[in-house]
Amino acid sequence: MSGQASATAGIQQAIAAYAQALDDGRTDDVIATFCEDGAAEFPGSGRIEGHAALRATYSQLVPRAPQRHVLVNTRITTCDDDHATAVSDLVLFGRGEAGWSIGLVGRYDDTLRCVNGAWLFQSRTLTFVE
Amino acid sequence: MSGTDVEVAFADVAAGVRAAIAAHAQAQDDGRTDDLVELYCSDGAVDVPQIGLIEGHAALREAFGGWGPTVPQRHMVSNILITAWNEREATSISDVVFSQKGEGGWAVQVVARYHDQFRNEAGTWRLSRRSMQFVT
Repeated sequence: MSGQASATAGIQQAIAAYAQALDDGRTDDVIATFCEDGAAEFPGSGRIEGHAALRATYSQLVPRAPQRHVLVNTRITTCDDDHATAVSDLVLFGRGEAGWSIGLVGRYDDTLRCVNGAWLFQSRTLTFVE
Repeated sequence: MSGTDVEVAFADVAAGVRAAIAAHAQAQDDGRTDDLVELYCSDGAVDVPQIGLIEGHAALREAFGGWGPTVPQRHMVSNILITAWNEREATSISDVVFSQKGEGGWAVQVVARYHDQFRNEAGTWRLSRRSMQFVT
C-alpha cells in the first residue's frame, strides 16, 4: 500500500482513539492523542494549547450520561510523510430519559503530525452545524 | 522488517479489518445471512450479552437468520480502533449505533461497542470472535 494509505490508517487510529477515550471519560488517553504542543478549539472556547491546558479542559468534559461521538466521512485533505490535515463529520449521540437522541452535529478540522510512527493531533477545531 | 514494511503491513491489516466490519453491517442490514456467516472463521463466534456465546457457522446461521430485519435498519459502525495486530491476527474496538425505521421515522434502538478478533485466512480477514457490549 502507498504512504498515503499508511497515513490514512494512522490518522483514522487517532480519530477513533480520541472518540472512544472521550466517551469513556479517559482524559489522559484523550490527551495522549495530541502532540505535546497540540491545541484544541471548540465553539466559544478559544484556543486551548498544550497538554496541561488540554487536561484541564477535557477533565471538565467527562460524560455524566452515556454518549457516543460518531465520526464519519473522514477526508484526508493534505498529507506528506509527517504532516496531514483531515476533515471529519461528527454526530454526537446522548442517552437521556427518553432514550438515545442526537445531541449535536459538527465538523472537525484537524491538523496532525506523525511523531515516532504515531499520528497525533497538532490541532483539532470543532465547529457546530447550526 | 523495516519501519516502512511495518507501516505498509498495518495499512493492509486496517483495510482488511475495516472491510470485514463494513461487510458485516451491510449483510446484516440486508438480511443476507449466508454472506454474513462467510465473514466469520469456521470456528468463529459471537458473544451477545444475556444470550451468550454462539459458535461455529451452523449456530451463527441459525442465530443471525432469526435476527433478520423486519423493518429497514442500519448498523452504523464508527471509530474503528485497531488495538493489536500482526500478519495473522488482529483485534479492534469499534462503536455501533443501531437504528430502525418505524411508524414515527428512524430512531436509535441500541448503542453498543464491538470487541472484535480477526484472523487472516489466505489474505481475507475474518472474524474469529465478536463480543458485544451494550451502552446503557
